[in-house]
Amino acid sequence: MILIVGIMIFNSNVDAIGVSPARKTIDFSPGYKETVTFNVLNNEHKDMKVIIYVEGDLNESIKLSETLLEFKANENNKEVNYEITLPTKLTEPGTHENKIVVREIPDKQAGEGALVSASAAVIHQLQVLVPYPGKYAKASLTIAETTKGQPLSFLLTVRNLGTQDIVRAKGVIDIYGANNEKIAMIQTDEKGIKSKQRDDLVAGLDVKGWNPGKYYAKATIIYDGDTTTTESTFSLGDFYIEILDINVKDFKLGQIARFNILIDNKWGEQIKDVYAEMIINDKNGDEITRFKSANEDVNGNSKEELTAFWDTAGVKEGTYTGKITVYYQGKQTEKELRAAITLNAIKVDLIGITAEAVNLSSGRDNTMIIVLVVVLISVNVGWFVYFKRKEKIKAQTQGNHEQK
Amino acid sequence: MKKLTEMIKENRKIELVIGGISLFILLLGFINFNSNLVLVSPKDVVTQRQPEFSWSGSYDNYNLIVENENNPLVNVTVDENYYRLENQLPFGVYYWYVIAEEKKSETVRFELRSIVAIKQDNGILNEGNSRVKVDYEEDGITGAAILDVNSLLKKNITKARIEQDE
Repeated sequence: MILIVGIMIFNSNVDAIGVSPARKTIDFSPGYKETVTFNVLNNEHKDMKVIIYVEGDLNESIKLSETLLEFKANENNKEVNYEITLPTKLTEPGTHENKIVVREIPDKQAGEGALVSASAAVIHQLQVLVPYPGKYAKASLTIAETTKGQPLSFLLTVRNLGTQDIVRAKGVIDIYGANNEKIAMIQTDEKGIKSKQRDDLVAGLDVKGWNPGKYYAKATIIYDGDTTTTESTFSLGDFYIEILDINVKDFKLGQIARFNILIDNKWGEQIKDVYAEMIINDKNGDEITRFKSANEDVNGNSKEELTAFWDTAGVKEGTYTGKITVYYQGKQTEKELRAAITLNAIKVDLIGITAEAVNLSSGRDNTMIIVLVVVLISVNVGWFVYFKRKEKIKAQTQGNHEQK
Repeated sequence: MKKLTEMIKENRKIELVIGGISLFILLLGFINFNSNLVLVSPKDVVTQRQPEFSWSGSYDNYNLIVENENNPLVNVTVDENYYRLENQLPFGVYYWYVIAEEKKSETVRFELRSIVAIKQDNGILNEGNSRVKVDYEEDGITGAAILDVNSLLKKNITKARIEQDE
């Protein structure tokens, strides 16, 4: 499991110092004990030292397995454990936030005039939730992803942070358009929610005939005479940018390559601050470089070319794999790529991400079919040989009888 | 001699029957393997907020369902063997499966895990998968900022602390 987590984090292509997971939440219970694990990431792949320490009102209750980590450039991540033992009493209700700070120790070797990087710290949060007296609800709103034209499903996740059970909780969701005009109002089902538990209140909304665009949903949760609110936005229509083509013109190996990335905005409105990031890997799949394009605004239902540059000094001829990701308003479109680099050209082919994975799977099916065929052929040959031999023996026996 | 011919005929009949049964099993296996719904990814732990779901099978349409503990957060019909989410999932544990022509795949669990990660690149670049709060010092002056994923805080920062905000 540790290995899997390590691999997954390594594969996430985060090029930075970091922590994962970034947050752990525990419900308060007197004397509760738990060992929590998080990873410190060294995806900049550099030699570095980090110190780890605890901040917060429960710092006396948290025991770290490590307080100093030393990374070599080839080490991707290291695991840190801490044991939390909650006190018998915490009087203040609400969220008690404690911080496990992972701070990089600045390199003291940097000489005068050299560029010294900032002393950066990333934080793993440990939140301890102490129940509020009585009934206390906290909610979040998620709009389920459905097939275009199908009714939308609104999920109000309500968490009862109070000491008492909530008997009846119900949500009322108001939907507003781009000009802040109220368009619709829907109600969720009604449920009881036990103390320290959470549940979803669900409502459906038929959006047939609605214009494509952004909408704003404001939810009010009414529970046993009290209320709380939450909000979210959602889009209708094809809010999507497609990557159509990547080409490089007038290229010479060793010089700066200009990548022209053709994208298509399928959305009916302009999308601002769109940019692409390309990652190039060597034949072993290890990243050798990543570079970004400038940000561009892309008009609705139109194509645009993003430009990114790569200095190919020291790069050898050959076939490289990689990935291109286009980022836009919190979303991203991603495609695998293969780049054939020669002295005078770079030819980039885009690959469907899942194509290989699916082929792998169908390959497994084919292998099983082949095995089955071989087994059946062997059985048939076996039967054939058996009958032929039997036939021969019988013929011989009959011949002997006739001779006699 | 006549008896021998009859025996050979009998054996051939048996061979034909066995061959037929073999072919039938083969055909059945082929149909079964091609209609098998095998979930490929995601599994275990992921950090991509809009993960791509992929599976194998030979049907015209698939119904992809991704659930939290209680309800579907994704319920889409697609005609490909993959689907990338259009919206970001909240961090947490999910279960997903695929239905095609009333045949349901196994259910696979995965965890979407948060990462707070930065890169120092003419400032602080948020390279994690969640919005972060940055407390920083610049020439002895302190400040704070909220940074979306892939956003850059372009400042001459000497000291910084970064934590998940959302």
